Amino acid sequence: MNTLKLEPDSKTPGIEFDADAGKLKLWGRSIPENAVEFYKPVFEWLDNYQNKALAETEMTFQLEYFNTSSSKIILDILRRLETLQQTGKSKVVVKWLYEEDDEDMMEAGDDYQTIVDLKFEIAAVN
Amino acid sequence: MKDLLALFNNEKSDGIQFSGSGDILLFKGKVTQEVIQDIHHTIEPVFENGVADPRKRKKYFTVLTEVLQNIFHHHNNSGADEMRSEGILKTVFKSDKAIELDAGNFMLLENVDLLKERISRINDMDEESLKAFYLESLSTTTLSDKGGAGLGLIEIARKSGSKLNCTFTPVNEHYAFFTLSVIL
Repeated sequence: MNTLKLEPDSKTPGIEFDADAGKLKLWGRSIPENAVEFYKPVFEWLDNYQNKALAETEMTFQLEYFNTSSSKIILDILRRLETLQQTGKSKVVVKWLYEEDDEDMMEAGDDYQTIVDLKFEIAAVN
Repeated sequence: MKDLLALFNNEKSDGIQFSGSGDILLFKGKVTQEVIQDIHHTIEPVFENGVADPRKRKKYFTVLTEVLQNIFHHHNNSGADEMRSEGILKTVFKSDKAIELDAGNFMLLENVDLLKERISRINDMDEESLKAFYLESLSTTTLSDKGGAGLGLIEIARKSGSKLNCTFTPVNEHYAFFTLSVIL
């Protein structure tokens, strides 16, 4: 299965979803005007991954800031991963990394943790 | 806030203007995704050179993006008119490090009551109920075709930690000028 790789720019995040390693990472800014359109390939990739998932999947978010359209998409990604775990195909860990002192981003991780039933590791990075 | 409408009417040139001392940013014109990028790019140095508190940088950009994309999403709907595509944005970086952000745009008079009701509902909430409302909206709403999540105003209220200060001024039989003012 192909690795989904996109370079970050001033309005969209960097994406590296590597099925062979079971490591999915999303970082940078996410403020596209139409998040649905931008994240289409991510959901297609996640659909394919359902049947090829490793025993363990690690999803890392390291976001600078994101718009509310993206906040909904992030929840949809987490829900896909929740389903993946519920079907017993993979054990999922979500790493939510925020820049030290960025309380808003820390709180955002905490918000998601209360909505989805997945193991979260929320940590500050320099 | 009525002066924002006066400013909109009196400002002859469209585009981004930055005051000489770099503490007041003014934008007037058609709001597009490119403009949002340009404003980000123009303001970035203000946080780097210490005029604004760098710890407020992300908060400011988050609120700025929501305010502008809100205008953008609404006029980007099919059938929307030229008048609703324009907006005005003023940011003042105060010497005490507070950031004042005022935005104004035209909206249909028929939608005023609905928006007023939504804003008043948000303003009646304390921090805890605002968080609960955000989480509920986040998990139950679906994205519109244009990517709107209906979460913008809640997010602005949460990020600023203050009440949404709004005015609605009817300008003719079809339109009102809506202003939103927040302090970060």
